[in-house]
Amino acid sequence: MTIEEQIRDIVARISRVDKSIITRESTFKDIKADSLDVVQALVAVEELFEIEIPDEVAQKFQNFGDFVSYVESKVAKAEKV
Amino acid sequence: MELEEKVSLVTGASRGIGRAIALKLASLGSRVAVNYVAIEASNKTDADDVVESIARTGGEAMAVEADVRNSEAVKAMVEQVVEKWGKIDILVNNAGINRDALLLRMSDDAWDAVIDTNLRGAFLCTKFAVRHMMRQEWGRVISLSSVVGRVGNAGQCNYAASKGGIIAFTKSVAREMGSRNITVNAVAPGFIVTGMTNKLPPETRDSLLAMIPLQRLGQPEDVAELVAFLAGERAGYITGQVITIDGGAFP
Repeated sequence: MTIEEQIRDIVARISRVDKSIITRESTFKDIKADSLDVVQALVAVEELFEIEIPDEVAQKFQNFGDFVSYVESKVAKAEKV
Repeated sequence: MELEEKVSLVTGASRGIGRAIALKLASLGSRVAVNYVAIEASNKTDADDVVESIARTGGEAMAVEADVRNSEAVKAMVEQVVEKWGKIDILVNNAGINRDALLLRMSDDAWDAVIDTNLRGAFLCTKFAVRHMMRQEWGRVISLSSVVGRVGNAGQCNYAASKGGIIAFTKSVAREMGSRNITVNAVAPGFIVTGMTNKLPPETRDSLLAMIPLQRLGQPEDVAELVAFLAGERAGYITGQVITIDGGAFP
């Protein structure tokens, strides 16, 4: 599974929506994720990929695609080290 | 049994009220992680004794060492429990200390030690344990407050502040976690016979007794019964509450 698919699964499970509705352009509002859903998803993703997503960064995510891109870049960086 | 298949973590469970809670939860079928801190050697012996008592009656328990003030240690403890039993259903924030002095004589150290253990400890344990409860959409967090957290007590401004803090913490986290079917409550014991209250001079004990309509000091088992009720399925619609258990002294 790609990083994007794994994150999509997590977000869909936590927000209780069908994963097919989540596109890179979807906002958390589109997905009907409340603030606790978002935090829970962040924590789950942090644990899965063993990365840290600072709150300042997370607050700037405009949509699902921003979230995925950030995680992809962090994971790529971690792999290089 | 009511708590069959459940996994509980009780902090400060080597002695006193924590011990009684661990034994009670185990008697209802829960597997119990008995937390202690290795500050005094006797704590480990006492925790092992609780584990053995549970094993003797056919229950399952393990001793887990962690200083609840230490974030990394708490995280590791929660992971240890989840690794062994796959989950955490019930957290009892019981670990607590007191270092009494009148305000003008209270050292910074006494203030920090009590707030760190009683309040920061509950914060850290809850933070790491609820992650696992959120996933399964079932959980119970029960924290030990105290009647002095409600009414105050001369000579205990640090302890009372920590226990009042537990009440506000409980009410806030209950609001955050409701949507995940996690209930968060506090119990506020009055004068319970433990190592902490045994240090009181006899005159103080007598004057306390005179304030209690039920005319006896509480036993750790009295508190354990209440905690066990809140931990069970039957208390599923109770959250954000502080339940006083003090023989009627401070209604």
